[in-house]
Amino acid sequence: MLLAPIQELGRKGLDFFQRLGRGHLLFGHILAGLPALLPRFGLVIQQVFSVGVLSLVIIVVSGLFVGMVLGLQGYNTLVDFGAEESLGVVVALSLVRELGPVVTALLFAGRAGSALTAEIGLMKATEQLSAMEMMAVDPIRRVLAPRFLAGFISMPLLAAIFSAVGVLGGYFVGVGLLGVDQGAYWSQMQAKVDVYNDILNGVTKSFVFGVVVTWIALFEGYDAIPTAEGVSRATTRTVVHSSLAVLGLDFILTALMFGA
Amino acid sequence: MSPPPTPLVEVRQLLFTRGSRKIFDGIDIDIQRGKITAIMGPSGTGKTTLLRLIGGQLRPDCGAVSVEGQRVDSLGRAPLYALRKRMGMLFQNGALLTGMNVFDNVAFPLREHTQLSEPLIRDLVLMKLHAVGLRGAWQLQPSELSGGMARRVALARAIALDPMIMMYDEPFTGQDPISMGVLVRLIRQLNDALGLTSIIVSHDIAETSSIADYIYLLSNGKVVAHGTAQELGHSGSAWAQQFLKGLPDGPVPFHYPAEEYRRDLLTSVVDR
Amino acid sequence: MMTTRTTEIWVGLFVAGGLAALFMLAMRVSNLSAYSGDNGFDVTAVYEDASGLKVRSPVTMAGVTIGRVTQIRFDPLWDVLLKDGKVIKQLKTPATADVKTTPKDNNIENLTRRYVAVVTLHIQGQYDKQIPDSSDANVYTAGLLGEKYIGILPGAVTQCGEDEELSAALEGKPEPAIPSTKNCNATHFLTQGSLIRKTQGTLVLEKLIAQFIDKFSSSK
Repeated sequence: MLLAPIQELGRKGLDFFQRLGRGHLLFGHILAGLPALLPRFGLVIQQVFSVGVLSLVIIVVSGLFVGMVLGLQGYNTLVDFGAEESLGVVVALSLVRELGPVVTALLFAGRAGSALTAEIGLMKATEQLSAMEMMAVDPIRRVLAPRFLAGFISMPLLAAIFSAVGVLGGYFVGVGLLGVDQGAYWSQMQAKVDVYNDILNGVTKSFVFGVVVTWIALFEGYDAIPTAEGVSRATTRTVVHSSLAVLGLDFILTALMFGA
Repeated sequence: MSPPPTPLVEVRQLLFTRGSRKIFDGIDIDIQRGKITAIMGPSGTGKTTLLRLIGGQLRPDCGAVSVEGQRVDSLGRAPLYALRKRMGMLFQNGALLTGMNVFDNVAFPLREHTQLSEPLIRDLVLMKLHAVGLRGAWQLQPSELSGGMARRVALARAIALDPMIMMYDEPFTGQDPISMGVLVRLIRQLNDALGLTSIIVSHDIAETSSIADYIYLLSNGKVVAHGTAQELGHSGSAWAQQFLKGLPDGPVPFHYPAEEYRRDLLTSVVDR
Repeated sequence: MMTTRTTEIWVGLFVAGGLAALFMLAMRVSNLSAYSGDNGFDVTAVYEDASGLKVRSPVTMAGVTIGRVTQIRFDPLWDVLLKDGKVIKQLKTPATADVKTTPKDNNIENLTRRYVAVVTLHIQGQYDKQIPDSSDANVYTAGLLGEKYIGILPGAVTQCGEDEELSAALEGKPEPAIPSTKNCNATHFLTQGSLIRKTQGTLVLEKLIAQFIDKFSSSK
């Protein structure tokens, strides 16, 4: 009786490590399949469309609003110190270093990640993956690898678009509505934002997030219990796990890049 | 009679467990060349699992599965994929790839495995579709097809690479009488016209026994009986008789094992 | 295959848009444009105290940013040749050996080992051979709490005859003599590898107070 919870804990732990192991095997298998994609890049383009282009609307709209909110909040804080000229710096650094990569990754997990999991899970449930195997086509190379590469390519582009649109949103609010000098908005930004330290690090973050979110989404789909319920639960897990992974990794990456 | 030719598929002393449950407990099955062999049994006896073992998607715990003399269970990845190119499999619901129309689905194995030119692929696909009577439906999406049509498209796809062996997983389940009749005829015709060897997994006795040359009956992980449809009809096994005739009670009891009826009703819930 | 075509066009637009956004972030938002056409040159300045100075701190002249600090390191191996208390030459150790083999240089007063911060300034290419090497490079603070930067105060430029040119212009004489390049000896201007000799490091408040007290008590 008393041992039951401990046994349960042990079982959960074993489950977790088994899943972790399967996830890494899948990751290796996907990576091994990437070189074969080069002569068939059409497959990847198809996926960049469904992963990247279809996420564009939500990214642009969110980026605009996040930038506008940053402009508003930043202005209200900075004006107390008479430093509203620095609004551009605040908006740009927040977006480029943190919000751009992180919010994009979270939205990407919700929009594209869940769709990937559902798609792969349904293909598994309807035996499409099995059928491919029986046609001597490796589904990991044919189905998963192009999606992985597409996620890897799309995420940094989406994050860059998010940040750029956000900077413009901050500009509309700060310069357009609140009367910050437009020259100061841009020149302070240019003086304080560094290509290597800020922009390149932001892009690096979004590459890492792209890999992690796409990987989790594909793994959850591929590992899903092939029933309607199993797929729906896998989809939920994708969003939860990849959001947690993005936020946790963001802390680690930030500490490595800007800390110490 | 002359000694029988070596079978195309040989299953020897196959042992397969899932968790603690024994799906196959040492079965032997021979699939003869050019014949239609049916594997029948009640639901949950692992008939589909058997097809996956033959296709190398699952590995047995013990025993041997060989196709054309090659041990599928210990085959490396590359030779296994090479072997699978010569195997066709029809999945229960067709397993057509969503997001591709009928034409692209049938063209899929050709595009993946051959370097044929697009016009040639077009001709081949239309020929295969014509064979299953769906040439006119080439631009439909899988979601627009009825269940029977989807299976026929999947059949066209399975024979696209001209396999030597065709495996049918429950081809008749959930079909209306007309599409069932169409499928029965197609399976027989394709087998004879293309010189295939066919394996049908099914529990639809009437349709299956009408085309099968040889039948294996499986139950509880064992081969209960095997022979031609006629031989099985006269078989002495009570279980086989119950299965073939669809009797509600017999060696397979109607009731799931339970406590004695009277006692069960008379005890109150609290006593349990 | 209509769908493939539209897909490809959309993906093309998406990738182009993403790259354009990256380009905008690089050029408009950040300081990449300052690096553009990076044909600048490095000069070295040595400070006794470089506290507060950071890599990427601006180097300004007359308030205009003309370059950035690219490297700050502490190098105890830099020996300094001094003449009249001014740094005239810096040698990597073992410099003592060097000095012994070059005793001809009578100007060398003494050889002192100084523990200094060696700062590399990267200055934009357009100012190559434009700034006299007798200029000062001092560490200043922007505003009361602002960051540290290096301000360059120009030294004398008479060798180029600019004074004549200027007075000629003031007097309204047409066509002043174009200063001959002979006078504009390249060694008198900052270029790749030059050393700025006149420097003033960070002023640390505690040090200033200590100096003041020192002077005050000694003058008594």
